[in-house]
Amino acid sequence: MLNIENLQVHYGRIEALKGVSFSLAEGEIVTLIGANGAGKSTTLKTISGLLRASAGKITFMGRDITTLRPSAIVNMGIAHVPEGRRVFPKMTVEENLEMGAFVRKDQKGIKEDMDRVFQTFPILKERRTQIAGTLSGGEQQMLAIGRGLMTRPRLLLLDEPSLGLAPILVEQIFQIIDDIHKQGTPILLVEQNAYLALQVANRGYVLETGSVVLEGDAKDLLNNEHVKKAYLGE
Amino acid sequence: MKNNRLIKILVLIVILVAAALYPIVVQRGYYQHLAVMGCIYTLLASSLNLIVGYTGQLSLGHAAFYGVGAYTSALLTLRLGWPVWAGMLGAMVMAGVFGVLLGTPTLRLKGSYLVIATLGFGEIVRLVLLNWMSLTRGPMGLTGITRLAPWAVTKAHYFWVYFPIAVIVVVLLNQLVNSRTGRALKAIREDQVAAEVMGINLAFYKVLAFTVGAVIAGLAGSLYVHYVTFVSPDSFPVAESIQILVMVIVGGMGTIAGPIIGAFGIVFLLETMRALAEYRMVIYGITLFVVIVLMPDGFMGAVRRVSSILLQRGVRHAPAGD
Repeated sequence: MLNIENLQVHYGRIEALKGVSFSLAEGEIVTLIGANGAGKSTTLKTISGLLRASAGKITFMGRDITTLRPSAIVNMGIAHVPEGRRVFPKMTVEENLEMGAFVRKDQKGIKEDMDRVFQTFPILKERRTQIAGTLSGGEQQMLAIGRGLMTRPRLLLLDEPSLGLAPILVEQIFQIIDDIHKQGTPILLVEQNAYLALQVANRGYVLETGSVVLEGDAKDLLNNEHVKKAYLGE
Repeated sequence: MKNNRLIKILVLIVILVAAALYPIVVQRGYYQHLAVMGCIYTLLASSLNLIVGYTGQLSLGHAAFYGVGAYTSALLTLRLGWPVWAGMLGAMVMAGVFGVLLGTPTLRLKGSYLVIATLGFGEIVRLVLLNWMSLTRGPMGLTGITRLAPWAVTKAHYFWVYFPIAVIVVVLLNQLVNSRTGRALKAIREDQVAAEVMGINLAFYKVLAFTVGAVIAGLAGSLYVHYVTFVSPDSFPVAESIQILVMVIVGGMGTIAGPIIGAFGIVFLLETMRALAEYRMVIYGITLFVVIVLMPDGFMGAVRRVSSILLQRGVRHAPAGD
C-alpha cells in the first residue's frame, strides 16, 4: 500500500536520504532501524509531508503523494506519531485526542474511536481531564499514539515510541503496538531499539547514513551477523 | 456547572449595566475620555491576543495595523467624502490586507526572528506615514477629520457607541477561539509540528490569525480618528505596539477577559499616576515589574490559580466523582 522509490531529501546542501526505496504491504508492520542520523525520522517526515523530497516518489494506495501537503496526507489516512511524543502540553488528554480527529467531521465515528482509544489505554480514560503536560513520559507516549489513532488511520507511522521510557514501559508500548497491528492497522515503525522492533515487525530495513544497506524478514535480520554486531550489541 | 454559568451571566449583566451607567455617574469628561480609550485599547489588546495569546506568534507590529486603519478611515472620509461607517469598513479591509502582507512572509519565522520582522514592519508603516507627504501630510498629521456622527457631541455619546462595539467584537472573538478554528490556533501555539501532523494547515491558520487581528486593530484605528478628529504618525510608534502587548501580558495571554482588564487597567493606571509627574513612568515600570513577578500568567492566570485552589478545597470535602 505504501511504496517509496529512490527517495532523496536534502537539508540545505546536506543530503539526508540518498535514494531510499522500500515498501509496506497491507497488514504489515515494517520497521526502519538504524543509528542516530541514519535518516529514519527524515523518511517518516517526508512521507507525512513535513519535509519535501528533492527526488523520488512516494505512492500510497496507488496515488502519488510526494508533493501533497501534510493536511492532505492526513486526510488520505496516514497518521504520524512524531518523535518525542509532542502532545499539546496545556490541553487536557481529551482535548488532545479531539485534536487528533481535527480533519474528521463524523461526530459519531470520533466518539467511537475515542472510546476505542480509552479501551486500549485505560490510564488515559482515568486521566481524561488532566492537562497533558503533567502526564508521565509513558502516558504521554500513549496519548501521542492514541491521538494518532483518532485520525482513524489506514497507516500508522511511529517515530521512536520507546525513546526515553523506562524498560517496563517500553515493553508495554510494544505490546500495544502489537495489539494495534493485530486489530488491522498497518504500521511503519522507526526505532533505535532494534531488538524489540524486529521482534514485533514482519519485515525490516536497515538504514545507514541515508541509504538502505540491508532488508529482509525481521527474523532473518535478527540473526544477521551485521545487524547483531551493529545494533543488537552481541 | 449550571450554577457556575448562571453566576457568570449575572456578573456579565452587572458589568454591562454598570458600564452603560458609567458616563452618567461619572460626569467628569476626563474620566469619560479614559473609558472611551479603554474601549479602543480593548479592541487592540484583544486582537493582538488572538495572534500572540492564542496562536503563539509574538508580534511587535500591532500598532501598524492600528495606524493603517486610522489613516485609511481618515483619508477616505476626508479626501473622498465617504461616510464614517464606510471609512470604518475601508479601514478594516485595508488593515486586513496588511495582515496578509505581514502574515504571509513571516510564516517560516519563529520566536525572536518573528519579533524582529514584526518590529521592522511596524517601523516601515510608521515611516511611510511620516514621509508620504502628499498623502498623509507627514508629521503635521491630518486635522479636521469627520466626527463619528453629527449627534456625537460629548464623550459619553462616544462611549455609548464604542462600548457596545467592543462588547460585540469580544463576544465574536470568544466564539472564534472556542470553535474548530480556535482549537487549530491553540494547537499551533502549543506545538507546531504536532499541529501539522494532525492535518492543521499552518500557513492558513497563521495568516488567518494575523488577518483577523489586523482587521480588528484597523477598526480600532478608525474609531480612534473619528473620536479625536486628528491623526499623526506619532500615535503609532513601536512603543505603542509594546504598550498593547503589555496589556495582553498583564491581563493574561490566551484568555478572553485578560486583555480587557489589561486595557482598562493600564489606561486608568497611567492616567491616575499623572500626579506623580516625572516619576510616573518610573512607578509605572516598577508596578509592571511587580505585577509580572507576582502574576507571571497575568491577572487572569492569578484568578485561575486562586479559584482552582479554592475549588480543590471544596472538592476535598465532596465525595470523589467518577
